[in-house]
Amino acid sequence: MSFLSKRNRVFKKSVSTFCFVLLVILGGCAHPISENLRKSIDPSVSLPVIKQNPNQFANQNVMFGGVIVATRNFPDKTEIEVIQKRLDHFGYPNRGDETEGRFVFVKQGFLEPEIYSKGRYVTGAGKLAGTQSGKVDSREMQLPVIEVAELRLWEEYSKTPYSSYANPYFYGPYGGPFSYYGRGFRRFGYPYWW
Amino acid sequence: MKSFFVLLVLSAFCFSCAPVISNATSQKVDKDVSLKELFKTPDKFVGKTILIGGIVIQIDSDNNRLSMFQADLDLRLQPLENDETLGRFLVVFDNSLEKDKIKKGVKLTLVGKLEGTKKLPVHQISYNYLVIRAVEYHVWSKNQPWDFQPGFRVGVGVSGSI
Repeated sequence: MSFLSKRNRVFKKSVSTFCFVLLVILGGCAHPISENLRKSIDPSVSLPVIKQNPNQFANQNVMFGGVIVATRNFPDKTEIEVIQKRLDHFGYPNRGDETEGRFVFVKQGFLEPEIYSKGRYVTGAGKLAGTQSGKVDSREMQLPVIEVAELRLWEEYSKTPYSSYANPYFYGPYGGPFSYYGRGFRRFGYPYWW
Repeated sequence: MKSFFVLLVLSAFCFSCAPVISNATSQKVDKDVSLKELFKTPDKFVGKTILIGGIVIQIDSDNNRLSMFQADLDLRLQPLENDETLGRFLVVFDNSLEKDKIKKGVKLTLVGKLEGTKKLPVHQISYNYLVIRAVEYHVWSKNQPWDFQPGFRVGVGVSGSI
């Protein structure tokens, strides 16, 4: 086999491996709400706009996300009260303090309240089904209700698959036992000030 | 000398893979019971011995009873925290609960006998819990150094030089 054809073969293999890796990475970044549902959503319909005139947007598809405040189970449905947060390009709720208010996701059937618990982040899309009264301390308010068709509960940061050996703070700021500038250096006899 | 070290390493692996439920108890498990079917139609499986795991919700020390929600088990029979569950169940113990080990949020794997069902309130509903009498159980401690889910991960890095 000539040198050039061998090099071409290696190059093609590298490109196909890179494409495979890219597909795997991009697959992990997929939006949690299906494309068909997202296409039916008018992004200009925000929570403040809905609160001003809820009847105008009845039965329209909307997509919101945020942090769960409470989950309530009823005989035929589960209500999830959420503090709205802006969604990024991948549908992930922003973790900052800005919010446009609260709303309620309604899902048919039983959702485990210990899983859909206070503080978890959630993104959902579905039809706007009016408003219902809610209370924050002694203040009454009208909360938009969304009959959610697709719902995504985001993983908690604490539930990472890493052990304490992979914890970046376990060995201090210089990395783990096999890092170039960490203990690995000392373990193999290099002076620690390197 | 070389074979001694090989044996030492192999034995370390063996100890770390020790079963959490004893072989004698594992053999009593009715392997033809599907957990999905069990939660759908529990009355059909009363008296069966099952292997199940989950997360503790509430402890009832007076009645030596726990309420839990089911979670799938990994290869080591440790309950997964993957936000999926088939439903809730009660675990009844013959002896007093290990109060220092068993707390809300703790993962538990057990072999037990299905005794029936019991309705208890969950918010605005009357939830039909499975009732399982524990034969043998294992409490998973949090933050073990080896307590992680192995998996395949891909990373992208950027490097440069000045």
